[in-house]
Amino acid sequence: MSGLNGHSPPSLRHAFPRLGGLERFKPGYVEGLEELQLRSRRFAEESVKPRALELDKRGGADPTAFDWDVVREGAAAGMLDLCVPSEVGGLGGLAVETAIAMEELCAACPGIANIFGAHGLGVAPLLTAGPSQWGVLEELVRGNQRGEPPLMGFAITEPDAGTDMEDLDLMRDARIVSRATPVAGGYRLSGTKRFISNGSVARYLSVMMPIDRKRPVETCTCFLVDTAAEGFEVSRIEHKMGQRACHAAELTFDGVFVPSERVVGRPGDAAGITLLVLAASRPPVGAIATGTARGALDRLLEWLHTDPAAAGLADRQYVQLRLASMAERIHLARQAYMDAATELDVAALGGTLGHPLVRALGAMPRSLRRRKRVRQAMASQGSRQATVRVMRQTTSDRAITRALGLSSMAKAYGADVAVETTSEALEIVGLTGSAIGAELDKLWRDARLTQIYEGTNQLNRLEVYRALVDREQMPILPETEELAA
Amino acid sequence: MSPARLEMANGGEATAERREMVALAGELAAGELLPRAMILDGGDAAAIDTAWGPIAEVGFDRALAPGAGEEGPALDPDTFLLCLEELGAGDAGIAVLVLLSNAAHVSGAIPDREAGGRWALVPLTACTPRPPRDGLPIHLEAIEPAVGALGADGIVVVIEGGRFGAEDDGVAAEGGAIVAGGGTTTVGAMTADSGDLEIAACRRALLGLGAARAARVTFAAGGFAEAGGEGANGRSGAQAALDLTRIGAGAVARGIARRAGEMAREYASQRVQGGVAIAEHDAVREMLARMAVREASTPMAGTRSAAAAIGAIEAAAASATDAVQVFGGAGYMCETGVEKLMRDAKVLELWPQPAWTLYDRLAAEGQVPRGG
Repeated sequence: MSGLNGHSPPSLRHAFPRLGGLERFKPGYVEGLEELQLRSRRFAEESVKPRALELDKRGGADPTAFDWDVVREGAAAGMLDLCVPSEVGGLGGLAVETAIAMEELCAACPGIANIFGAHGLGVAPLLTAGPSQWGVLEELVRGNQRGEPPLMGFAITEPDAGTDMEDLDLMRDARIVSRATPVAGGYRLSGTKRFISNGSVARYLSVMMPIDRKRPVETCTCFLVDTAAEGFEVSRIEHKMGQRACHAAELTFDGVFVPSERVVGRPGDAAGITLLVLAASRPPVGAIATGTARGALDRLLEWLHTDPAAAGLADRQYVQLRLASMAERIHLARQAYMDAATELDVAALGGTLGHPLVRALGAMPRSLRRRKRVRQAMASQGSRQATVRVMRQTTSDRAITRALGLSSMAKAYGADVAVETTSEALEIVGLTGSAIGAELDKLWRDARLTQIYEGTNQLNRLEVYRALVDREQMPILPETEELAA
Repeated sequence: MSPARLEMANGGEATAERREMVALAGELAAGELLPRAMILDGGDAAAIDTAWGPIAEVGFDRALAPGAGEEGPALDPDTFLLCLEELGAGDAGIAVLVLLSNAAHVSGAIPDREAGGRWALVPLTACTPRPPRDGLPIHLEAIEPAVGALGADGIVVVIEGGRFGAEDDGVAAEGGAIVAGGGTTTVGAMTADSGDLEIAACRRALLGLGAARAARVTFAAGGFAEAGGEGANGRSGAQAALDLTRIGAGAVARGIARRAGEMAREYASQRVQGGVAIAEHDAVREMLARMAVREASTPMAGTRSAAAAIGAIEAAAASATDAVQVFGGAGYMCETGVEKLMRDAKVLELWPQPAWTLYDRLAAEGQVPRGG
């Protein structure tokens, strides 16, 4: 149980008994996760929680306010390198590592946590492109080490296409306004993206745009956009109900040039790759929600046991039943996100990450990898095709679809738990002018977003139906040239 | 509100005067409150005063007061609740100010009805604040948050009987604080400029009902201008005021639910995803249908019970949440105005007290058995 009666939050092995079986996955795996959990918790307690209310208040008064200090401190704690490959100096994790860190950060402040979560979401598409984008990933790591952390974001949503952009069937009729036009040496991007987390502070953005708006599914492409490029503009920063420490921005692309080597993967692969990225990112969002709920429960318990104004409340059956229900749902939400994360990392992608070619690239000395000809080879079409072949050999649409189903389940369930738990916590405390009221108000506002972003809960549940009930196999993996011919 | 609905709400007796008052409330909501909803939500004092002006001019602020009708409208309770619902659909914060003003007058504690100005009832119910000490007397150094008290010209404090579980009767003021005796619902009224109290901004803004700015009220030596039942309506007036506050909160909530439904329906008809309006998608249709069902099944007028008020408030919270979901990402952004409805409804779930603490009130209504 989390935080009951003054106990500290659960250890990893206590929270996830099945983790013991994952020791076979790779030596030291669980130990590494335990260290990450403690490191994340320390950063959350020391750097995130003390700032939470102040940043929320500041963001409420001025949506453009942003705290780079907490980003720098998070970078020093490794929060920006979670899913950057170890070959280029990152932690080398994926859904599991990101989810564990997110729960810890969100128990302190979901808004601040989302800065790091959105960064990971922006990094994720680059991972699907194999070594072709390792140069940028190395740049991110070097920036973190210098104390000048570059942030990333993932730009999918448009003013008239939100849910549409996260479902292959809906995308066919989506009112997509943006497009990428092939030009000499690359593409020019035009259009608008909306509600993009980190959009206004990112150094690089993974941006989804179709090359042919009439065939969005077949031509949707992921571009790595340098936000310093001419034609890129942050047109507005939204005033949000909660999670205010993290910006949601509207971005305008007016002929922004993206060179060919900054196409992530191959042109036309992005629609399916987005689903792969969502399969990886939804467990962390489930963790965001779980952490938010845990944060509310922890604060409520502390108040019940220490504030004279709460005297006698913990003896009331109503309160005890509500606390038990909160603990129950938080526990189940946690199992759901970890189940989904391990399904993806171990069952679906374990073979990919352990492929001899991937291991060989990892074993290559960095000095060799930085040579121009080697870099060009890694960014070449041949390398991209090889990446697709490795993915096809080591995993399958069926495996990724199943992982997507579990991820969507974890996200939707966790989000509902977050909203219910924060709501009930408020009802137990009642209306008060004291700090507990401010903290729970904020968590309630923060929790609400988890039912909306990363696909609304309704969309997530439809994907649960398709993947796990109807057992559909979604076309997620890019096709090899042989298959496409 | 349609005449047919008004008739239904009033059990078939929709007089022309009633229709006119409810329609007037609707016009005020649409013309004065809705256009200012965002700035009212921010608690802007000038905007609140501007919105309050026409309401006071019509007399909605004291339409239930004893002697109402001499200079302004005198409304029966059901029509008042319907007017409150209309105002709630415009801005719930302002509607709560109207409710508190009428509740203050209903208490009978305001010494001079001609004094004018905006009054606010400050109810101390079973859980605001919680009794921190054993035995009597209990000193209340401050009341926080006092919803609607900031900017008021005077407040009427009503302490619900039995909240401290004590047998002693009566309330006295001692050395700078109210001393509550428990056991009896007691009333005291003070003007803001009397020197007997200080009304300052609450330490933090409320989650919603922005126009009903909350205060921290502290009491100077002398305490209440009146205590106990002497010269006032005493217990029955105070209890009526408390009951009105609870029931009126339900009416305001119905306004929120209605506004949420209107916004969601309009958006769902226009927003296109997957090539069709989202109102064509079952996931959205289900939410819209549930909002309509809740609206139809939570009438306040004609019921006037705390139980019905709880139902209306819970329904409003659920409908406002659904409305935000229908809007998707846009629903989370302050600009669309729909997340405000969710916050307003949430505060009504907590004020004047959360539903789970209302058992004694429900017992008084005969809805549940009394405890032994």
